[in-house]
Amino acid sequence: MKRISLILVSVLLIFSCKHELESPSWNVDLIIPIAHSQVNINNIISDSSSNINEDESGLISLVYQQELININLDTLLTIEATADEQTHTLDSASFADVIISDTATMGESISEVPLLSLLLPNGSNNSIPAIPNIASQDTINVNASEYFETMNLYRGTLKLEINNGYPTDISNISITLINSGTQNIVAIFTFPLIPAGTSVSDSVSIAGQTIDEDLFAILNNMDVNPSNGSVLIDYSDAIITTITMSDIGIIEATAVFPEQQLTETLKEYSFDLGGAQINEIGIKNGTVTINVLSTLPNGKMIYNIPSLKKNGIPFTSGEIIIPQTSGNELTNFEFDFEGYVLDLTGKEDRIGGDTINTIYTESFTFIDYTGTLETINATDSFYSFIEYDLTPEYAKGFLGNETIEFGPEIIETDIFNLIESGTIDFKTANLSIGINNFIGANMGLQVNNLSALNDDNEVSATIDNNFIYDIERASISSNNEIYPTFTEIDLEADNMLEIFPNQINTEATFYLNPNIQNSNLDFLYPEFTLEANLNIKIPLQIISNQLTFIDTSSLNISDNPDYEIQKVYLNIENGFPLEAEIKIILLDENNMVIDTLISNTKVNSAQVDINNFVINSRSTSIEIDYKDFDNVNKLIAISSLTTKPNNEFVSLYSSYIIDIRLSAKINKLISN
Amino acid sequence: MRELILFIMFPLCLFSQEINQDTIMLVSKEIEHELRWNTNLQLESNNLNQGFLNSMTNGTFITNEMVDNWINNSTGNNNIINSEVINSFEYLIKFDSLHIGISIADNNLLNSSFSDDLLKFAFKGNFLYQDVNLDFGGTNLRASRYQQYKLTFGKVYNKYKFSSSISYLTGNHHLSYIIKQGNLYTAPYGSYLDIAYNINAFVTDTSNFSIFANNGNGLAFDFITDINIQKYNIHFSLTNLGYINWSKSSITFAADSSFNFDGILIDDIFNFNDSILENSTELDDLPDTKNNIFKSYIPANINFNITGSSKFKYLKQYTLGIIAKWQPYSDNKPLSFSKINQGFKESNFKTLYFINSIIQTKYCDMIPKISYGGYSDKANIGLAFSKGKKNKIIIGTHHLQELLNSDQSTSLSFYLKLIKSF
Repeated sequence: MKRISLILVSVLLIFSCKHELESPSWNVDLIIPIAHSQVNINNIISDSSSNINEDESGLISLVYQQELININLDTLLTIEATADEQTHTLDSASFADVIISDTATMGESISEVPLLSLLLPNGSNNSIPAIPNIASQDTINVNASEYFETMNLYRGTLKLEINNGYPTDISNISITLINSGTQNIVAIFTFPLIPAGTSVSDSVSIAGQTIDEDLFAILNNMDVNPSNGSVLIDYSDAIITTITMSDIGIIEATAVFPEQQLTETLKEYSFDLGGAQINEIGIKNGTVTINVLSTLPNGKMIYNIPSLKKNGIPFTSGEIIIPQTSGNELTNFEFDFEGYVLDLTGKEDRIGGDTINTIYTESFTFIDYTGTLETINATDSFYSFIEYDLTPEYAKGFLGNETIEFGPEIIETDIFNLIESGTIDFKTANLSIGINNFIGANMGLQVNNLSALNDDNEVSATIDNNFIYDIERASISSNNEIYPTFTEIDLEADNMLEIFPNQINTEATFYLNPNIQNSNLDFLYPEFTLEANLNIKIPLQIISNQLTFIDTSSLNISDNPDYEIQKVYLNIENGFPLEAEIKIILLDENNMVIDTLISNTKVNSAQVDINNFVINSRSTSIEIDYKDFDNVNKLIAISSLTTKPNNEFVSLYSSYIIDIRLSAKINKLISN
Repeated sequence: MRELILFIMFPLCLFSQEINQDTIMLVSKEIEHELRWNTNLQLESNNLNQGFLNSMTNGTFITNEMVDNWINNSTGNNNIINSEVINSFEYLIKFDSLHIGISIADNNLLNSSFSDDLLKFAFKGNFLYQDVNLDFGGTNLRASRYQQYKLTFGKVYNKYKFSSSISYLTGNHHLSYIIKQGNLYTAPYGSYLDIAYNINAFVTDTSNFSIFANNGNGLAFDFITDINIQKYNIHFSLTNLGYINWSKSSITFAADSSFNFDGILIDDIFNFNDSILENSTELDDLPDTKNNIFKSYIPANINFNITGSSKFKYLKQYTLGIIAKWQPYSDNKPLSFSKINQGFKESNFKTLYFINSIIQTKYCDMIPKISYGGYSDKANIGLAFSKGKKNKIIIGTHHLQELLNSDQSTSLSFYLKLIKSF
């Protein structure tokens, strides 16, 4: 028992001390830096649209530039033309001549007279006796089916030519041509004598005639005259009859039409560019559309613009197959002309030399090989016109003497937007209109009005509104790099700035080539024309009195359950000769005021020497007790700045900075 | 008067060899086997009292008043806390003059030293210490748990006893934070902080905190000798001189830097929100941790004492001695004189001087003890009770006087020895 008790006590002693450890907790007060920043004049005016300029001494000037004028000269170069309208009717078409020939050999003629072949054997030398009426009512078939089935002509000439290849004369020849179908006489030809080895011909008009594909040539009579002594009898000697239909004008025809050109139009077209006389236009983008209507079967067209080149290669549409239409539907063929250069000097090597605003075009219409019988008539036609819709990249030539009115135009300016109230006195303030001219033409500028406005007042610049300022033309390099000219017009403007304007009103007149045409070619790039900017330069040598700025900043600090921000400390080392009164208002997401964080807290200005240069910054610590930033969404900072010493100009330099350090007292619960 | 002093002092000067000396020697020549159970619980501090320790372990909410008391009661710049929970079991056998022993021990050790400034900063923050430089240098915290498997050989000659041991150490867990140099200066209004630090940290694999986790292995050596000269026994021991090499999965961190922190640099102070702080990378340059092998030392004990006997009834046996501890910070430097000095200094243990005795009573032996030094660096009174011969139980404490101080006590200890001889 004693032993058991001993063991039991021992075990209890060993294990009874086991204790589950539990973590303690306590609060600590920490003060930690949160953020720091150095603010110079750059940061202060960053919300403004103005920039800063620093001179050699570090003196800061506010530099503000506002675009006043940017003229648009696109209308000078508008090429939205419908040009080259053409109608090609069939009556204007020229058909190829129809040529049909017939050969009658001497052997054939001798064989038709009994026993004559015995008297005049082939190859013999004999005297040929007179043989009257060797041909009487003989019919020769003239087959024109190769060309057409029937043709109703409003114009045409039928020519009959007989070549006498016999070794003796022939005489009293009479030939009648009749249509095989209708038996209508087409023409009658008579030839009293055709000496041996000669040809005769005669022509008649066949206008108004209908010609069938099969014609009969009826040889009414032909006499063979006796030869002059013995002659070589050669049966291959022949009389060749050739019938030619030429200058054919078709009223209607049914034929298997071969490929044939109907029209060829070579012409120049001048664009209406107002007073501008342009030699060359570079096309930025745009299209040329060929609109065609054809009632002809298998119509075909080629449209060339030799004046329009890309990389030196003229534009050609190539063969355009025009579908036949029975209505008025146009077929459109659109071509992209981006990057092309349009030569407006007319046809190359034209008579009279180069011209302006003019292009040279070529159009050709065709009937393609039909393959089957088709009937066409004089009302069938090609109708075409060309639409130009081109946006120029540039133009070279003489731009004309346009007068361009600008304004009145009111533009908003935010240079003084941050200023709510107070006064400021600038030691100096410079205002000018700077004009960058990218146009290769002289310009004249007449400023009719320039005024500054705020909600209550309008102050006009002191300016002679009848005076025309000369603006030099820009120049251009061989690789089309533009060198603009800059013209600056200085204005008296102190009084304009003192009212803290929020609007500027401008009215001006521009004169293109106001004097005489320059010997150099003008040029114009529509994207780069003429800019006029209002330039304000205000050296920050100022006297300010309660100059109040209002700035709204976003603020997003969410509460952290791990710690509690009890206080925030704002430590400001002010290196500016400006005393500030600061008020900070907190807003929620609906812009409703939550609380005032800082109320009219004074920030000491820096210490300055007798020349008002800052020699020491001064420190200000601001203690902020506000804790609940959870709903704070925005922060309005109202700062009233007064230069120190009072009523003396102080200069603001780039080296002046405000050192801002933000720290916080945090109570944190330390636990597991 | 002299007798009175002797009368007062003698009971306090009676010491038991059994509780002061590291020995495996059998208690009696007739005994051939012996089983021992040892439990040693000890919590000591030089400045921080039980209230502080209770607060740190009982989930208490620590008030400013409590912190102020701790700080005000602090008597020195460095606050030392040491805790030991050791349980061991031994088996000893004697073959004539040869003694062989084996033992297994579970060691839970915590040793820490930190400055008052760290105490102030940790419990009060830096708000009250604007424009003050807080010095955290010399702060260290070491905690280890390991098992020790020991094999001992001893030899007894006429007047001379000698034994030595070798131990295999199985490391469970270890962490150490060594701040050689650390300063924090808070500028007025907290506009900036100047921070300088030289920190080394070592933590074993945190994925497994079980007692069976093996995150390191090591060795330890003991050397013990006793010499009888006339009627005195002179004892010298060097025990637990050893180290543990912690495994490669251990996390090590070393940083030696100083920097000025004045908040996040903001380009646009007029558009401030906390996402700017969240996205800031200004504090991202802290060095990364690495996984490396590292070596830590276990606290070695150096004990020297002289035991004598007298004819007085209440002073049959007395012992005078000193104890020192050697435990350098974790490093891999070879052993040298400077490292020996370093180990004494970095052990946070002041040399302990003690005197004890045995008072035999009718029911048991009382073993009083007076000591000065150690982790508490103050005088302490110890008392133990021993009962039995072959089957012995010893229960005692090294800090008897602290039991009366309640929350103001700075040290607590309890030890139990069960001995079965046969």
